[in-house]
Amino acid sequence: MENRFWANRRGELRLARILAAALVVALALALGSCSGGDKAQGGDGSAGQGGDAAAGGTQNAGADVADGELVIGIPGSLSSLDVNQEAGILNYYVAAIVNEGLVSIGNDGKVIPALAESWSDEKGEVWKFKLRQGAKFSDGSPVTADDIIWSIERAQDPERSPGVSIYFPDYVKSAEKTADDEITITLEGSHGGFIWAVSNSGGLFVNKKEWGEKAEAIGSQKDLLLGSGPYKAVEFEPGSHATFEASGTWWGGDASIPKVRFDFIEDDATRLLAFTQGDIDFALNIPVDQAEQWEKVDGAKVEYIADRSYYGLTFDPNVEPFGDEHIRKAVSYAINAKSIVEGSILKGRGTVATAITPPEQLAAALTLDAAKEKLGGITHYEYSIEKAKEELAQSSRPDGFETTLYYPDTYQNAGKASLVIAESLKEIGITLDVKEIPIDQWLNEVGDGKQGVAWMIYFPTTAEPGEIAGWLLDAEGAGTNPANWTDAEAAKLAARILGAESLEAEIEPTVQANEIAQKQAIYAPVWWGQSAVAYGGGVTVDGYGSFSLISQNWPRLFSLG
Amino acid sequence: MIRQWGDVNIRGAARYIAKRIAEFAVSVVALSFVIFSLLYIAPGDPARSLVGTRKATPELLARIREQYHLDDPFLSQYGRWLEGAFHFDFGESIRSGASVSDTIAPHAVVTFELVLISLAISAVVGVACGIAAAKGRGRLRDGAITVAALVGTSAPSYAAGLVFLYVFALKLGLFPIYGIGNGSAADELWHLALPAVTLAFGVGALLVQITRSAMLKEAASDYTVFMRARAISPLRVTAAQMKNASPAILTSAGLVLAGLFGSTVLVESVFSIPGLGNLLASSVTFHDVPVVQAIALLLAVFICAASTAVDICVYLINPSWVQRHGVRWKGGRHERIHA
Repeated sequence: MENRFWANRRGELRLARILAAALVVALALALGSCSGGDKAQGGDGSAGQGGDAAAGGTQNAGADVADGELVIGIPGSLSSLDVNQEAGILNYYVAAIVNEGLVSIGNDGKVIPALAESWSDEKGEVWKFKLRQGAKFSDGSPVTADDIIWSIERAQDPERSPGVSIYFPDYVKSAEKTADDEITITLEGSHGGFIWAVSNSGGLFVNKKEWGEKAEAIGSQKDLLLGSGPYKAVEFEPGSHATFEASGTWWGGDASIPKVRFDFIEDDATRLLAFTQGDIDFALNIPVDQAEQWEKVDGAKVEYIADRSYYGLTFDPNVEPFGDEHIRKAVSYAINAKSIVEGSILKGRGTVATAITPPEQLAAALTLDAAKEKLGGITHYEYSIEKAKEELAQSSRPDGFETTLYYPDTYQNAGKASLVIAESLKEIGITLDVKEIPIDQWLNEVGDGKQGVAWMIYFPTTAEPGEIAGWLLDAEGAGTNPANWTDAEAAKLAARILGAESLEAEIEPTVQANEIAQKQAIYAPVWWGQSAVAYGGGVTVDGYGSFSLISQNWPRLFSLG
Repeated sequence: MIRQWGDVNIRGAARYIAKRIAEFAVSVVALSFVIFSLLYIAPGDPARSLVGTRKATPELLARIREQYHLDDPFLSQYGRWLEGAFHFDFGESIRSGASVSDTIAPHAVVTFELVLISLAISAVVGVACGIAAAKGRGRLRDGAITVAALVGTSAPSYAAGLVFLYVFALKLGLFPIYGIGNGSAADELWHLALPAVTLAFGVGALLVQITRSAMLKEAASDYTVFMRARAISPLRVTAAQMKNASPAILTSAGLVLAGLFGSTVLVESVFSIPGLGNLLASSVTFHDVPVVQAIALLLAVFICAASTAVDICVYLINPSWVQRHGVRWKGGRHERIHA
């Protein structure tokens, strides 16, 4: 027995030795490869740092920024650098440093000059843009009126621009070169908000015409971008990263940071580990409910800003029993928005919405305080179970009813808020069945006329005051707004927003249309969103706000080292 | 005259290989129809996905649908797609506007590299551990290997990936956290090492269990008893057992390969690797139907090809085993081919 035992043990020890040897070889290979890695490349980790940490060193957020590279971890993957093709919000951030429009926006949301030095309009109908002298593309060639007109025509073409042609105004009658340094754009009717369409936060991304006509797919790995902004695209690996270097040809002077790299890291847990390791300097759109974990990383700073997003319920009056105003009001009163925003769901990272339009959306024309005052007077339904019961008692369904609320799988906070609302509604006798559906299905069902109550989640892409109101409050009946709501007065106001001669002229109809919708409880605003960003110890950010990442030359806000 | 090559009858082998290749072709065409049909009937409208929650008139949606031929009859769409697929032309990505072939090619290279490394790790470690466990049946090492294999098959690859990242990348600093590096082959290999181990950890465990089971069966067979009775060296006994166990192990390796491709979606997401799995996940989210169809077809072709190759290898290694057992691996299960 003893011999057999030791024979077995010898076999096991031999196996253990083989495994140990294999492990040592694997580790040696790994470490050997480590030393050959290029630390300038994001995501290459840093064996040295990790080794120090294992030996008791402290890990600090923020990559090695001494080489003048800002590494930004974004929670999504870009398939094209061209916003004309793929118009997600992350695409806008990236393109904002390469492509310019005739105008751009400042960090405060105001319209500022870009490729047009100045502009004027006649009653918002005929727009004349005086082009900047000395503007150059990153290949050194001058930006001409032909390049800009070609880019406008491209933005209007659904085949060449499926991303932005959807939003590019269909009321543009013509865009012509009226002098070597002047472009005149004539509209059908008066449209003060048109100025956003020719900004690079709206719909115009100027590339060089001669290059663009030869390109197979602008914004792809083969044909990056050829713009006139402070940076030029030098590398793009779809699904992995995109790298930009200072163009050296920008009319506004040298870029403050020589190199900007976007790393696409979709998994939030991985992004947090990369930030902790110091592989990324700046992380965009970190989930607000996980922000505390990011704050715990040594040297990290987390900032929260209002991102002008709107989260609320939409009632379709054509679907019973939501045709009854008392029922819409009963549900509105039963939404404890304060608990959702300040409680465990948003943890204070949002604002209770009292209207559809967030105050920050009016920044182009009003100060924030003035905007808050304007919107503060709009009718809203503060949480009150008693009032909810009273409204329901006066309705056609005093004993309650059952309905379903779907939320998109990519917006888990909307799902959690749905459950809070369902609990409150149970108290007044309404059964709300909450169901998660894929985002794709949810998008397909927005305003389909089959749901009495539905979520509306909207992220404005421009700072045009009437952007949200122009869609949600355009009350001309089925298909014109997500509630399929009809109201002649609100429809007139929506038309006034669209035809306003200036951005300022959009404010009053926006506020009045909000009031009409709220009085009838067509929409139940729940919260205005915030987004969080985190940056590491080697980076400082000055004046980061709602419009920063779509503002002109936004890397100037960052300082390295 | 019957031509022989070792144990293999060449005419019989040629007939068997031709039959398997014909079955492969039929399977691929059938799968292409299934893939196209499933995506056709899936809920959601690519046109609506492009617009998002913003205002979209029926005219605008109709224009987008026309551009992508979304309103054409089903069979017309399928025919156009299949004809293109034969020329590696899957149309344009709805999301990026680039050619689908150009879009998926770099991702496919990364995924195939990842899967091959992972398959090598699974095969070497899985078979070695399976043999070691069988040889030490009932002892400590058998118990340890069996428990480790059980953990491997039970742990979700997403969770295993995060644990490995935390321990080996963040705490020990041995591996990078994400991406595929700076473009050099050595750097890419270093970046793919931990994801490959994560993939292998799950599916390789299956190989351990199958190898152990196959070797135990051979150990209990009559020929093993006779070989031992004739004092033939243990090494030769093990070699004979491995040859006879190899069909089962090889067929399970085919199964492992299919499992590896299936797990890449989660593992590539955790490690931010720009492979087919990641592309597939984002394309599904954005309803980029042409890309999803192309990836699904590519993976189906590859898995069918691997299945065919495994069957042919098993035949060539041990034709009598195929004739005796009358089974082959097909689509992840064993199927009887002789009455």
